[in-house]
Amino acid sequence: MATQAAMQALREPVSKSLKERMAESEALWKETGHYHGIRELTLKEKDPLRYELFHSRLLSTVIAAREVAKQISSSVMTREEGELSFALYTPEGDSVVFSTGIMVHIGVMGNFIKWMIRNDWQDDPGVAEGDHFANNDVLISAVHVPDVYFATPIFHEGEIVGWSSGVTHVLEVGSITPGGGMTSLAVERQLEGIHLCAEKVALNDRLRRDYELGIRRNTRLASFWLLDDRARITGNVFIREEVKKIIAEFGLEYYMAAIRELIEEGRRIHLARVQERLIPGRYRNPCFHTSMLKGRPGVLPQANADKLLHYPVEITVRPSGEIVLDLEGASSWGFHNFNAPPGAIYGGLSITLAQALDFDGRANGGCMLNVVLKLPHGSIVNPDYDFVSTGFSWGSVMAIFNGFLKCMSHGFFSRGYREEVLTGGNITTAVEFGGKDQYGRQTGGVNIEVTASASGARAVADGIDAAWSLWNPEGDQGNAEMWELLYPHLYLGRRVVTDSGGAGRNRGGCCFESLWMIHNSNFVYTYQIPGIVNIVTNYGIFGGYGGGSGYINIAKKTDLAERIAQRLPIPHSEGDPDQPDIKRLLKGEIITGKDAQYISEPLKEGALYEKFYLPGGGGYGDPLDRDLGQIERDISLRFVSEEMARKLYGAVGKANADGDWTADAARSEKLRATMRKARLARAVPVKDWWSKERARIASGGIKGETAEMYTECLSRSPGWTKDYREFWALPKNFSFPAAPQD
Amino acid sequence: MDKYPPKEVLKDLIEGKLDWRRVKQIMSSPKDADRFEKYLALMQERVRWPEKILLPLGEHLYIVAKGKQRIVKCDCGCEFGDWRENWKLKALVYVRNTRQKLAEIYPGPRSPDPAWCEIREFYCPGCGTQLEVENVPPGYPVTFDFLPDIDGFYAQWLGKPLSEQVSAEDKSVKVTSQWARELSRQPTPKVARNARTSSAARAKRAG
Repeated sequence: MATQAAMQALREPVSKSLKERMAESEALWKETGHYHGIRELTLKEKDPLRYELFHSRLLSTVIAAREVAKQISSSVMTREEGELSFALYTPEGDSVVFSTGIMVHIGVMGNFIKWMIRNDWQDDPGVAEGDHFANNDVLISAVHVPDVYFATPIFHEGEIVGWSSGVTHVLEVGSITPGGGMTSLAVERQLEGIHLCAEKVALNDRLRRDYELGIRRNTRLASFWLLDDRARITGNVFIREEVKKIIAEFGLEYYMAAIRELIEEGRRIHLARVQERLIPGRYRNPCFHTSMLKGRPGVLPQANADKLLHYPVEITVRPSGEIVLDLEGASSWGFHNFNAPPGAIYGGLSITLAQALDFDGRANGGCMLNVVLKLPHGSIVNPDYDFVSTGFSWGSVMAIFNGFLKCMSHGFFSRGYREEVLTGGNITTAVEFGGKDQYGRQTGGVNIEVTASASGARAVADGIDAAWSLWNPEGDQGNAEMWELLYPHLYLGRRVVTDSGGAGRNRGGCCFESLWMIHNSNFVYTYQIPGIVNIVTNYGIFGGYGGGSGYINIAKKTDLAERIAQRLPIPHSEGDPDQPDIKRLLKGEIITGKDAQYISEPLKEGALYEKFYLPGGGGYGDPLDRDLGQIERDISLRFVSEEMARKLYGAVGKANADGDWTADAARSEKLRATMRKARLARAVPVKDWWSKERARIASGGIKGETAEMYTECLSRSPGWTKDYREFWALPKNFSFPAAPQD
Repeated sequence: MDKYPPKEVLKDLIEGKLDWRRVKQIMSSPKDADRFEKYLALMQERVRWPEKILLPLGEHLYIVAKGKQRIVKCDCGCEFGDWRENWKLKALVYVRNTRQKLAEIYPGPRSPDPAWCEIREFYCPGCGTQLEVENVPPGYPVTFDFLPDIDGFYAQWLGKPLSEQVSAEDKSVKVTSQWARELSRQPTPKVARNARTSSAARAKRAG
């Protein structure tokens, strides 16, 4: 039975402030262990059909809101890529239902609403029908600057009965360099661009004129931002008005009780899913990222360093079904834009759980109630510096939750649900532009076609090629022609990158590349959103490899125009990575930059920019176990080269006159047997390797940025430090040699 | 609860013989509550040794009951010791830590920098199967990927407690400590002259 307090709370509306109602709800959760003190799912049990109908009405409302809002926006990101999402919340800011799209923001937007309630926004600036509050401030609750939230209250007979909220990822935010605020040069908050701090930006569903003026004056692609604002208002109003109809149909009392019962049910289903699909125990997967700023043009002195960033993901699944994510040992926050405050981690966790575990339940705020985050204070995942840059918190979030997926996959595998196993996939990286556009106007913006790239392999299938992202299950690259309308570049090619998927019995998905030619402009800056260089960031599992590290090609002052005039071959994709087409076919200044934070000098008409959305997805299982028929298909599609098929998969064969490649089963089996023997011959017992490595560590053999990473982690994390020293049986006071001073 | 997929379909799923349409159908269907029992039976049929599988741990690895012990075992029969000790410590390892070795996996500029990242391939000493791959910085401890709470699982989630209860405590340090003791008969690793102790480091930071 519900407690007396819970019954009282269910009899709404009551004339209490939102702050009081939120405090009551939180007290009921603490007291009973049930959301809002709901011990029994009375409405569901009493009339399950009505309850399901009610849920369907709400869910279809938020999904429809997203589709309607898309039609208002003109941004490629919002309209074509689907980088938007909408949700319905309780009066206290707990999500009830949410649409597809960039679902990572659902819980984070709820925390934005809670922040306004906690900070008496109801009194000042006041909350009224038709108000829309905007936020992209991570210190309140957000992921990073370009994801702009709008929340609007839903009133019924003078009482707030809920909120609708929507997010779109805008193209330009007025940061230190043109683009979406993810530039490497924004190493402090004040350089990231416009921050909207729970600001009331619309009254009576209309944007304030002073707000519009501010956006026009302070961003570089304002018309797209302002249309995105109208898209969010439209989606929110759509939800608000539909909710009023639903209340009229079901009654207010039913509405208020049912939205909360749905959340409690979501909590219970989540716990049931954990117990159904995982195994209790401890899961670990260390994750890493790189930040490369040393000596880059325009970098502020405090940020002038290359860094290896550490996120030691540990998950404990308790027999109760509770999941604990512990990042003890994470690197310190720093003067770079990878800092990921708790809100961003919360968002990453919620979308990962929504897709991996909660997708067929009641995915809502209830799913996160039995999840615990342990984020060390002062670390990269819980910075304690007020001016910290979080412009590309997303890089850290993606690294961490690729590792989280691998951890969960161990559980799925052991439990027998192999169809749920999924290794690490696409990690965000993109390009920001600025300068003069093809129409002669000053411009800036970002191309995030990476929203559809590689997924990791599954235990039962290869990874998805060039069509997946963790943060948006409906990811879409956007039509090349639409990007060409927006920015001064023409696509010479957009193609799957050969050999980019992590090798394995099941291959990781291949990523893709785009090759752009600067067109109708002689003044284009490019700012690479930080990708991953120097390391392999995502993961294979059970013997599969992760995807490779990133790079770019840039060609300037080439003979491209002459070749086009003479109808000679020009590059459309990479070709052989050891001898890329851009170098093989063109003469001129051609750079292959293992520099994922590249900042270019102005590029002129005809310059080429070749962007690889590495890494490809991680592989599953021993590559030597891969089916030869799948390798034949890979080679015919140019997803795998003949050379790498031999080196990685032990597959040999030949192509016929039509170019169709057929494996030679007998020769391949022989080669595979030889390769297995070669492994045994070249490998050593771990014990022997451990002894040598230990001596190397103790004698200062680990140097540079790697040693600096260890020094930092050992100095700030007692638990991780203890594990480190114990593993290598090092003295209790061991630390790394001091980094050499410049 | 739904019994789909039956054991023979599950076998095809595991062996990669189902087309994507049928895989998707299984993914989208309610989970079969008896999956673990079917799965264990299938796994047991695949191996040639008699020990009872308690938990599949990887494509080729299992935690099995051997007498009163629980050990990790490869399907080729190779044994890796107590399940609470990281099985990788009993494997063979090949480390790709040069540009040449890394380029064999990652062509051209996709190759990581060996000063920042090395690839560790863990092989079964019995059959040469590549059981796991780590991509970590040099000097990083070997990761104990998954330490299952087997008794919590059997008793509290399956409702079928095992006859003997064993705490799921990480025992890997015992292995490395033993290695260190063996090494102690040899000279202790010299700490570099410019290495600092934690207290010295703190003192320097404090100025």
